[in-house]
Formats: sequence, structure tokens, C-alpha cells
Amino acid sequence: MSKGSSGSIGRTAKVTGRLTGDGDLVVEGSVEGELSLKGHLHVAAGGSVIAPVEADEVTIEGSIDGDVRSRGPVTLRAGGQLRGAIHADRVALEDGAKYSGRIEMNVELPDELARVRR
Amino acid sequence: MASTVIGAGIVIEGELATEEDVAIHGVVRGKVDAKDAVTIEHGATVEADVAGSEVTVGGQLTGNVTASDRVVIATGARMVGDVKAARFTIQDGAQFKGHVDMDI
Repeated sequence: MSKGSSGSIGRTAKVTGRLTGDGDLVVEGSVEGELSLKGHLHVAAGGSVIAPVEADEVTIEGSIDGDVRSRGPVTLRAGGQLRGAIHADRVALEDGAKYSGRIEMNVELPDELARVRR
Repeated sequence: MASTVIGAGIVIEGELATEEDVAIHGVVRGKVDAKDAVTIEHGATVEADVAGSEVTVGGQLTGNVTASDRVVIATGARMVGDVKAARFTIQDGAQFKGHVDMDI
């Protein structure tokens, strides 16, 4: 474990309810409800999260069904799946990833484009 | 390492169910249901009914425990709740308050 307070939800484990934490978390099983983490959330291949997610960094190789709000980068890897909005300043969708939803990044547009958008 | 680890900074309010083993260093309020071993580590706080094959309490547990094999309350642990298991050990220095059913 990288930090003393890291954790993992094993392959056959299912958490139903609210999971909050200070530290990194690897989800190989499933979390359903609400997930809020001060740390890196890694949804491994086969892992499933059905919840609104808040974290410092999010890496998805499994699936998330819910809005994702991240203070750092969100990476949706090949084979990963996300249904929900992404609120983050850095988002990477790799080739082979499945995504449907709306991405909200704080984009600094040039003045003329920003004016058009408004 | 256990297949599921609830780290010291993690709080679960709800239910944790698994076919494998679980180690809890953090906080769980609700229910823990495992087919394999459950270890409530020193420093952990669990307010939940706990089921497992072998349940070891090293931290603080408030709730009832049912184990298909055995329950161990380790030195330094505090448990308030009922225990149902074929084998039950309270180590010297552990605190326990509750009813014990060893099915005899």
C-alpha cells in the first residue's frame, strides 16, 4: 500500500451505502451509493461503481455509472466505461474507452471564442 | 494482504459484503458480511453486525458477530455485542460485554 490509509475493495466485495475516505482506493469489486475520496480512485478492470464520485484523481479501467468530479486528472482507459458527467480540469479518454455524458473542463478560450460562446 | 482492505482513512456507512476476506483499519457503520475471514484491526472502529468464517477483533466493535468457524477477541480490543460461533477466544487484556452462544 502506498499510503497508510489506502484501501481496496476486492473482486467479490460489494459496498452499498456511503464510502468516504482519506487515501487511495482500488475498486475491483463494486461500490453502490456514494463515493468521496481525498486520494486516487482506481476502478480496476471488472470493478464497478454506481455512484456519484468525488476524488483527487480518477483512473477507470472498469466502469462508473455516475457523475465524476475530480480535483486532478480523470483517465478513462481502453476497456473502461463511464456514463455520467465529468467535472475536471484534465480529462483523457483513451482509444477503446466507452463514454457517454458531458465533460465540463475549465477551458481558457481566446477572447473572440469566449465572446461567441456567451 | 486481504482481498478487501478498508484503510485507516476510509469510512463506510452502509453494507460491505464479500465472498473473500476483509481487513478493516478504518470505520464501518452498518453491516459486514463475508464468506471468508474478517479482521478488525487495532485502531479500527466498527459499529455493525459482522458475519464471517473467522472473525478477529483487534480494534473496537459494537455489534453482533456470527462466525461459521471462530471468533477471537484480541488483547487490547473492545467489543460490545453478542457472539455466535462454534469456537470463541477472549485473549488476556481484551474487553468484552455481550452474550455468547457456542451452540452446545
